Amino acid sequence: MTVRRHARWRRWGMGMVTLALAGATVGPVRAADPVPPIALVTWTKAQYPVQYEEAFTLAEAWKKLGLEVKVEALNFPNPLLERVFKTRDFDAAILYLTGQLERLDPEFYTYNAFHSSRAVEGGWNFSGVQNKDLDRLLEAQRAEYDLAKRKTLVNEIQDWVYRESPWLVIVNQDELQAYNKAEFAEGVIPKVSGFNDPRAFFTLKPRGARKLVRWASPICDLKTINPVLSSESSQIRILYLAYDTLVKYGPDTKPGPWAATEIKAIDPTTIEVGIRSDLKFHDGTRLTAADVKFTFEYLIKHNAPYYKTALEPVEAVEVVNPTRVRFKLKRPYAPFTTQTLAMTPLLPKHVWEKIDKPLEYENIPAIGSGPYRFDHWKKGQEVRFSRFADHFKAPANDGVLVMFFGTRESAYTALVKKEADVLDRMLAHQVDELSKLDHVQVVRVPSNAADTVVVNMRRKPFDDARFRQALNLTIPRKQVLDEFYNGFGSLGGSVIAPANETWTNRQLKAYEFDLEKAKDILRKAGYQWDARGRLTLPSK
Amino acid sequence: MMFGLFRLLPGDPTLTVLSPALSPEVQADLRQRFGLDRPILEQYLRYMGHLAVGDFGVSFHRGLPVIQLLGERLTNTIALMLPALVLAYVLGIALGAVLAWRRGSWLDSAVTTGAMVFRSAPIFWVSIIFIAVFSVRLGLVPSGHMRTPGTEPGGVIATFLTLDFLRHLALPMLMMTAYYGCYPLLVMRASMLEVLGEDFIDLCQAKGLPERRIVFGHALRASLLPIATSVSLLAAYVVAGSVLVETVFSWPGLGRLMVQAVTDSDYPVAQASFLLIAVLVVLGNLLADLLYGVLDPRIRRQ
Repeated sequence: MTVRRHARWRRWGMGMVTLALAGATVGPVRAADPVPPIALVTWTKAQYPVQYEEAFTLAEAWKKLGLEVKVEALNFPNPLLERVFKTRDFDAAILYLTGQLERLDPEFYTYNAFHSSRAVEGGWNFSGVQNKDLDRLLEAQRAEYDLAKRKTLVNEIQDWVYRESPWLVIVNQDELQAYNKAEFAEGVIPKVSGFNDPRAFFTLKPRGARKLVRWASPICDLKTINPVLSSESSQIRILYLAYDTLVKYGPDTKPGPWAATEIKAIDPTTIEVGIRSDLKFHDGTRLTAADVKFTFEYLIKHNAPYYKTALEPVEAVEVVNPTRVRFKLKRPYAPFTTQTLAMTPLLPKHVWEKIDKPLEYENIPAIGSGPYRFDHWKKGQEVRFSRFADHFKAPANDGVLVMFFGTRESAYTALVKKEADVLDRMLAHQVDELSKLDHVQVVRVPSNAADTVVVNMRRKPFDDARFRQALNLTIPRKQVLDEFYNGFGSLGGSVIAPANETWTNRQLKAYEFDLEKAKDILRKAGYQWDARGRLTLPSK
Repeated sequence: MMFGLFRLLPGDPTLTVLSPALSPEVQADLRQRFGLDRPILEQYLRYMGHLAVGDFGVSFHRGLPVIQLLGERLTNTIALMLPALVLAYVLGIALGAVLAWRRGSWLDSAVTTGAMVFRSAPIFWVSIIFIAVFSVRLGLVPSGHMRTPGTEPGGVIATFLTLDFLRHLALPMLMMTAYYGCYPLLVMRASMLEVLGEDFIDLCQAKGLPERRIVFGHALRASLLPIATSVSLLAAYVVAGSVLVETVFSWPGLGRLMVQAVTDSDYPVAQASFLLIAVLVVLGNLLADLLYGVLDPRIRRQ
């Protein structure tokens, strides 16, 4: 396969470079080698101007340490993702992780990002952290159902990451959103995610005759309306308007029962979930425990990509009675109640049991049990949902029209021209413009999004914690926040953002820019500067 | 060719899928589902085999047959492009002929200069200016989309034969007509100037024919050959243009689908749309060849 062969070629090339370096160090006595130029991977200017500019700010700052930085701007999704996920061909990379609800569970920013099993090709452990003690902590938090005890473990993990600096979090940016306040009165805008949470849509109250909420979506197009096939958070987010989950994150970022009435751990591998008795699918059929059991088994059987990792620990699902199911897990798995149940959409058994190839199914009309009912989907243009009156949290408005735009600017223009009511994922500079308009209310909520540098510990000298700390100490976070985010966000400290109040480690404050301290650390670690001011590797 | 091209591009289709906890196992699943775990030769033979019976495969990320996806989008693109191009050529040719006749006049220099400038400007930039002026500033027409968002979907009649559609069509069509009209205009003017210098024009004048008859009846037809040549290149221009114009105007056409398919490494969709372009280019050439015959009897006889 070409792609693979390509990767192998590259690896082979890298091997040659390493060999060459090794050859140089065993040669005759000579001045210490300067640190080779740092390959800093970032996003293209057209797609993500902030991250692009940020890379040069970092390059400038690290130059003061005597380092040379080569910025490489790559297109998202590819080849950027291939470089950071697969070939791991980078020294440092700027990653921009959006704040999604499923990422509130510590699993994402801890186990997922730093466990040694995730350092393999395709895993999220970009930095290549391999640490047995850390692995033990990561596994322990996963198995701990007690919130307070789990929190202690998660705090300890955050301490480790903060100290060892495999990720250098720059900024936790705010979610910038806006809605048309002339037409809609604010409902409950969730504290952390705002309109990222479908709840924000349910509660928007119309002021006038027009009761349909028109949402200028940040994605260019909906690829599918089939929740079994859909595999990107930004896409699935739209489907959650029509599908219920057993658990939902509350406006206060804490997960709580939604379609469930209670969740009880009978023992560490047996979880019993009570289901509301007033749930109905949009075609009028009642939603019972049989549908829940079917959903989980069906998604597992067909390897539904989005849920696969979260469903992996599920061993079996049993129906206790029509409003009660029992999950048997392969091993204790705390994220089951806070992540798995919050992301699994409940499917109607009577529809899906007839579908043999769910990954090639159009799913029109999409039948769920959520607060909105699917109306129509005009491909490349819009999806419309209308209020489902039989839902236990029936929306305050008549429906949501999700509109797709070719560019972000046109989505923005639509709100300005009153052709849209909700706009999200706004850029910082748009806030000032919109604040001047009488009909627009800007919503600024802190989020668990992260703009971070990940360094590649598979390479020298990034395998040296002191070197990484020095890099961490020389990130001009304040400057980045002020210049590129207009101050909308907070300085990056712990790997779990302060907005994630349940899990963040409040003791960890962002590293302050301190060139002298950074140089001091490097000096003590044996690094030196040559006559031209370049940082040189410690000599053996 | 196309098959290899997209596979050579850096990027892995399983990596465009970003879920909260996408694991290597999920990627392996996807690779298997997409058939990417097989040797490249086998993938190719399968692709060709399916193609031979008109099966373009199923989109990786959309889960639907490619032919269905392309069909829906192609209709929308044609609804925008066809009227724009016809108008561009009719107006471009007519205006070009008039300018050649009035060579050196105030009108000639103004329009020719304008056309040159307009044509050299990037099309997306021109589009943005059009939106800023006609839609945002003057509020005459909507700034994008094909129909007013939220309207009920309907059949072909409800989609294309409504006032609402025409209002949405107006701006991108005006823009494309102006943009694509520049080329036939300039070519026509040059070609016409050449023809006007020939003896038979003098003869026509000597016969006392009215100006209009000479220009549109005699000189025009003789000057059309270079225009026919440009028709063969048109398909390529249209595709390039549709990618940009559809993005700026949020038009749900083929161009936008193509861009997404390429960035997502959705091979089946990307391959099929580029194949479609290749077919269009060949058809364009055929059309140009046939036009030569119609326009110039000398070519027909040979």
